[in-house]
Amino acid sequence: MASSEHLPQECVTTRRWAVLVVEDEILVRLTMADCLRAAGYVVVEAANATEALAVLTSGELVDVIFTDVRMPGAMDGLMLARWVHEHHSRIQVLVTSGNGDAAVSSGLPDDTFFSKPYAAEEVARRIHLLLEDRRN
Amino acid sequence: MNADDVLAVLEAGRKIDVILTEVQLAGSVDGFELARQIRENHPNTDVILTSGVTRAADKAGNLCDDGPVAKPYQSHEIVRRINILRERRRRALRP
Repeated sequence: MASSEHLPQECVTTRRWAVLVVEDEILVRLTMADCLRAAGYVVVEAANATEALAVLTSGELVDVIFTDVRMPGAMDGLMLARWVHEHHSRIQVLVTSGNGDAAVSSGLPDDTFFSKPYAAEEVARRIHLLLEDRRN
Repeated sequence: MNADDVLAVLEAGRKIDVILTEVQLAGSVDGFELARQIRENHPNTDVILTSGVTRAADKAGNLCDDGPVAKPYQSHEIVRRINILRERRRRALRP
């Protein structure tokens, strides 16, 4: 089997998928981030929508955003999802909330919403499927 | 992330080897106080302090074994510091 080390540099893609986790509860965020890192993703963490916007406007490559709905600050997770849809339509957004009604009122597809408490592994699996679809 | 977040992570029992913290943090606890509390309550965790304020950086020398890292810093300098701290821990554990 050919090894990538024998290929010309321009033929080798080494970029790993990147996930931005937006969650103000530090321990919840770390648990999700740890799970995704263990799965091989590059993970960027943000404690609120403002930090998430700073990451996105900095040029950092992000493929998927996993965001809580309720966070401190002027922008909640649903507003962030709408902003991303308008400005970075390539990025897929998954949303989580302890309030199941948030999914209904947001008009988000069911498969992009996770009720809290969620299993980090389940979120990682969904992200994997999303990105596999994109790759194919 | 502010000092309360850092302390919440440590209090939750997460094993953290090194913390790199800015001196000026949002909230009531600054980087100096955070470093002091970590030294007192989490002696297995090393702290690297950084600041863009020269005077603050000087003061940090008392709380950060190899002195503060002045801003702007190069990421390889941070990696070098982390490696030094880890090696020091490894040596301390050797019989």
